[in-house]
Amino acid sequence: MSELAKGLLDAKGAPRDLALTARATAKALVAAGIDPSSIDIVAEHTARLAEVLGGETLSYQEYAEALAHTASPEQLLAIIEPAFTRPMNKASLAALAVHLVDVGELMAFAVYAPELPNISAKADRSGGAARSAGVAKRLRG
Amino acid sequence: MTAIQRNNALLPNSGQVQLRGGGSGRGAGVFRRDATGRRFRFPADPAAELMPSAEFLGSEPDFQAILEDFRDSPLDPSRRRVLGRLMGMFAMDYQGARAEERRFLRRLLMGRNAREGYAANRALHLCQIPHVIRRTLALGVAESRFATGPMSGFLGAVQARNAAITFMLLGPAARERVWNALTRAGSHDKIGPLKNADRLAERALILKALAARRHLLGPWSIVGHTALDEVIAFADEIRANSRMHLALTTTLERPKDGLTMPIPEKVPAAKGARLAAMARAAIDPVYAWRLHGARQDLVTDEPWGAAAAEDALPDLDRSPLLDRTRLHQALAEARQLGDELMPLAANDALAAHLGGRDLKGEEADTKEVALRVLADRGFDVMRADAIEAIRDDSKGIYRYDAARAFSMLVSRFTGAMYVRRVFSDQVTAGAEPIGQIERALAQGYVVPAVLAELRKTTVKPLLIVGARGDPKGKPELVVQPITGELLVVPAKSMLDPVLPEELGTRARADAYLAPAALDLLAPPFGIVFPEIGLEDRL
Repeated sequence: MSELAKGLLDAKGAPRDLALTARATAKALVAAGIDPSSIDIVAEHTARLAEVLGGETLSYQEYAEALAHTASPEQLLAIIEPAFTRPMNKASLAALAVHLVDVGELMAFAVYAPELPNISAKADRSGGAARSAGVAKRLRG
Repeated sequence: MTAIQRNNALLPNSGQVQLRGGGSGRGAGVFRRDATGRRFRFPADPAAELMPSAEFLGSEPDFQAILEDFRDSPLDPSRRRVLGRLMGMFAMDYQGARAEERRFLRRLLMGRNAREGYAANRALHLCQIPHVIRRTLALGVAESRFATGPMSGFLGAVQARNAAITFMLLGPAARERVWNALTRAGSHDKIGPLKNADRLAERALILKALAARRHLLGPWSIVGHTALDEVIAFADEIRANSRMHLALTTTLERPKDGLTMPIPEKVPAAKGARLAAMARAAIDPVYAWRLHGARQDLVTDEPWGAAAAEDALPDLDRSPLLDRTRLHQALAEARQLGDELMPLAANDALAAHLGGRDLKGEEADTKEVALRVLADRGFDVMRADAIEAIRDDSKGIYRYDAARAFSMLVSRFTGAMYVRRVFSDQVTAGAEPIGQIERALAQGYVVPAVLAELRKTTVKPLLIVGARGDPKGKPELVVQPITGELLVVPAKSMLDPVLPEELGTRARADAYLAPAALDLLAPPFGIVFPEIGLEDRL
């Protein structure tokens, strides 16, 4: 049974700690080659939907239709669907948005952190390297 | 949960915020009597390194200069302690700034939604976005869309930040097109800037439309051109329209007094579709504009008399180094797909070439494969001549700011910019790096770090994701190497000459990226949800 199917809020109405679920979801989505920014945009639409929801509720069908234009990844929707054991109210939808923000963040680190060494790579600062490049090359004439 | 944790930890409680005598403008006198034997140290808040005036929070002698018009108003910092702290941050900017920045700050504070505008300005400052974009977006947030009713501006603070970062991560051709659209805003092709057009509102809307398509503008997007065309077409359609018309037709919100335009008929009546339309219109002004029928209401062709418009855009910065972050984004996203998009060997070869290494033989050929893939399948990743310029920079002066580049890539997701801090420097300065890392973790941030191995020129990334204590109460850090599972290491090992073997062969912790928060308004996306404990504490 999906962890999200147990509900996004606890008995007191506070968001449940879904850190482990978020980690597993992020890992699966990264492995499936999903772009983190596609999760980010789904999270934003979910948060906005929660904002305009007021006292109403939203079924999964309505939620999926609302996201249709974002071309949200099928893998993500498959993960989200079990959370809609019944139509969601504003608090649950907001908690889902927060969960998606967490997933997006973990995905972003998984995708971009490996690039950190390349981003911060500097060439060997030996005299030879300096002379062969840029300003040094021009100064040498 | 980290989003909630960040919100609640960042601005814990307005009663606990120490203004240290600032805010009322009386602080300077008090501070002059304080002992002066301060020892040199790095500031605890990484924001201070990104925005130097942050170090003087609330203790500026000339604090009143910026506030003279705001006594007893909601912006009076003695009333709003957190906002007071923020305003202190800008007081130094204000003192040292040019006249246009002073006028901007005063205009920002006069806006109905100044509070959120201020948060946006701070975030955009930390992003080190070009000033003209920062001012445009911050005013787009601070100045309400309507004179009455909802306070919100043309976009929210988080949308403003997303817009700025999306713009900065565009490829060179796309950046040029958007810059041209921003330049043409509010002007006539032959007459030039028009008196009654609102260039600022138009520019804010163009950038908001860009942010709404940020997931379509990545380096491997197959619909990038279409998405960009849509934004440029929108920019042309809204050009020189009256501000009131733009305010009404780029949203489904309405001022409370029931002014003019009704909600368009195209908005579906069915509940789900109606809510979807409302949510989408709040994110994407192009969608709202189309719902309203994309009808124009142009202002009269009256030229703007001023000789040099203050809001005129300067020339676009075309430094090839600006392409480098997008190039790294492309390489990172290609690596995520294994060999599917670009062979990993080619990816590595190009990265090494960018870093200044001289490739020979087969490795040099492999690098060419990567360049071909980028040219054939990438969406406007870089200019052809950028590679050599980036390489020269790596080998020479090294003007490229790696921490800022990494921040650009992840800040959309984490709400933080990062400042690179070297462990040994921090220890020398008595700045307690482990304490800083633990504080950042307690606030819900992940702390990226880099490890250096003996006799290797390349470094290894490491994510510090949590802190805890061992059974004896000694502090430990939960870390995640990029290739591997979570590990727990003693916190003090980060300062040891050699890290535990699981982290590499004779590896040591070289530097870490200290997060400085961008999001001061409740995440996610600056929307308040008291139902789940996300309250606006600003």
